[in-house]
Amino acid sequence: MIRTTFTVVPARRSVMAAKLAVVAVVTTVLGVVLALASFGAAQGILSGQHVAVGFGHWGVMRLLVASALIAPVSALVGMGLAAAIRHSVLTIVATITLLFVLPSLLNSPRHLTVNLLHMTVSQAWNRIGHTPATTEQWPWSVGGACIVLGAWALVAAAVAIYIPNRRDQ
Amino acid sequence: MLNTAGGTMGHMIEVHELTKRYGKKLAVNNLSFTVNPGQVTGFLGPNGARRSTTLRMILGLHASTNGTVTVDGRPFRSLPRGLRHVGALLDAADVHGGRTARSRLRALARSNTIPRSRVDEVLREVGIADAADRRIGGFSLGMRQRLGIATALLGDPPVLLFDEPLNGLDPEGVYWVRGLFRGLAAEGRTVFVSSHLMSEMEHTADQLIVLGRGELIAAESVADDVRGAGRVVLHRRCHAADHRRRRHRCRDRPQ
Repeated sequence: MIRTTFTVVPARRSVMAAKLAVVAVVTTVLGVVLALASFGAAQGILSGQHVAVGFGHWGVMRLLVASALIAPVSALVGMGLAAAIRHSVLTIVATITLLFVLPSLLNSPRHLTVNLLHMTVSQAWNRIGHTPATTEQWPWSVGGACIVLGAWALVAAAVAIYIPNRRDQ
Repeated sequence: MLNTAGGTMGHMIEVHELTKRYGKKLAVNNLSFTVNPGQVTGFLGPNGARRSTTLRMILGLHASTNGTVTVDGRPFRSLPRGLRHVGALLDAADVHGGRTARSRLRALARSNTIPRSRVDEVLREVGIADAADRRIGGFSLGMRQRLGIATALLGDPPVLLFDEPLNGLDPEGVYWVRGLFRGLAAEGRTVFVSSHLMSEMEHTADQLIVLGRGELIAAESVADDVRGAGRVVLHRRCHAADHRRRRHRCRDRPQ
């Protein structure tokens, strides 16, 4: 399909930027809906135990925003990998490895390993949502975690826009 | 309608010393030819002659290693939108099977600000208007070819490229395609048709560009070369070119 696309619209960067925008918007909406739905469901259950919290409770909004934004960040990472790899199955394997398998492999308490762990998408999302165990020994800020997520999204977007522009299709 | 005021000088495809390497492998070697408007030009050669690679380079999908290729004086990739300049059928299978014929063409038309009414026009023109709201996944190969031709015609472009447009078409379809190509050329358009069927090109083309192993073997008019004794000469040249490369043989028959 991409040959048809680039024949119909030879301005490849514009096409890829438009595709990125659609993916980002659709997955953000999906993320918001899922975050609110799971928050609502959890509160429904917890209210029976009289331990429910409202939106105003400390950290709740931050957790909801992080949970909503993890969807577009992951989607952009997947799109960047797809643009670079150009093979569906390999892209799925690479995306799952990068987003989920890699963080679970970085389990040593060494300074370097923890630094690498802090650069992963899932760990950054954890840091924004709550305080994971690694933070006690090697502290890092919520702001730093936001920068990590932003950097992943930007690099993935740049790869998705510029790599197909240079390659033979 | 197509503006033919430019006469025969406009809308040419000009290939100049085009070379393509994939790594160390030489795919297309120093290819030069011109495709003129107002004619059907056949792009002939056996399988593996690199006709599709050349078409991709004309469309800027593949970058050339050396040399230039322009359509109407400009590299195709420098155009922001393509459909009104060049219509192309590269691979009829390059479709989303879950979409309907109409929705596919509407999306493509919209990307090039072509009015919606044009979609139904081209669907009628290629004879699949009845199947417009069916999923492409259920189409026969012949119907997909017709849809591919409809895609090429969508922007009413002055230059049209077709890669093996006859694959999967029944005899009635083949007859229809010949008439369509003749008609498009008669309107002053540049029609470039890639095929491995020399016998078919005899019926359709005015000019022939013959490619073998990525090299130009002949660029001559059909009247001179194929219809008369020249056909034998062409065959000999094909064989001679292949002999040099000591690879496959040049064949004029279907797969």
